[in-house]
Amino acid sequence: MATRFLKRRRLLLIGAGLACASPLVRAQADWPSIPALATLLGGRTLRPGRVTLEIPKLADNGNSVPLTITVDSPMTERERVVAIHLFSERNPRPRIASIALGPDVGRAQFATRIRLAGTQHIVAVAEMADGALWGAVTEVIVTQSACIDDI
Amino acid sequence: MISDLLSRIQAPASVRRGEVFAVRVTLAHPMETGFRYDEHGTQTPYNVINTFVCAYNGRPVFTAALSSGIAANPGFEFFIRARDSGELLFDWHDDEGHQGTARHAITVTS
Repeated sequence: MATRFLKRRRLLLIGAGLACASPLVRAQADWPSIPALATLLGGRTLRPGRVTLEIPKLADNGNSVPLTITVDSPMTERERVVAIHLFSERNPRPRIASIALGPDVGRAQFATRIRLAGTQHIVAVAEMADGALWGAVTEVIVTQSACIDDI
Repeated sequence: MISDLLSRIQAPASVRRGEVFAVRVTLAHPMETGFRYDEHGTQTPYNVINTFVCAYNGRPVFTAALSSGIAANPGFEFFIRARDSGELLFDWHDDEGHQGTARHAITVTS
């Protein structure tokens, strides 16, 4: 009786473990396929987390979409963000920007306005001083695309 | 030094040592995508600010490689930790060879 109970307990534990692990696995598989992003990674692992990508869920005008990238980092000499990269899934030039941050940057935050050629995913990648790569992905619905001819 | 690209820089004139301050930059540039045609049907060539650098007392703080994915009249906001009094030097280039430079003096108080 006791062994049966233990077996059941073990099965439950395994089940709970799988349930906890699955969101991580899913998030890792969720990066949109962007060749330029794959080139940057060059086989390195891009982990989801530590990066916050603030962008409107619905952009009326794809010509100018405000965006803020914040990375969770103490920004000390040893532990800091050294670069931030921004990729788009459907723009004709998918690598929007790559920014190198020097040691005098006091907060790992950066804001700009971008162009979006249609509804798509945006990926922000933060490169840490220890070589780790963290990222965030978000979808933006664009009503009026950029790059559409307006004579 | 040619400085024919206009800009607006917003940063404090005086900060305390160790304080983190915001730098806001707006550059006047069409950031031409190369996909636009004028009224004669001529394609406007690709021309964007491809490099923008901000250095604090000669040390690069913010070095950006940009594409046409950045909106026209690009604006950036980033944060610097005040160490010593001195100068922020901004320098940027576009694909047609135009260049812009701006300086901003910073006084650091303890």
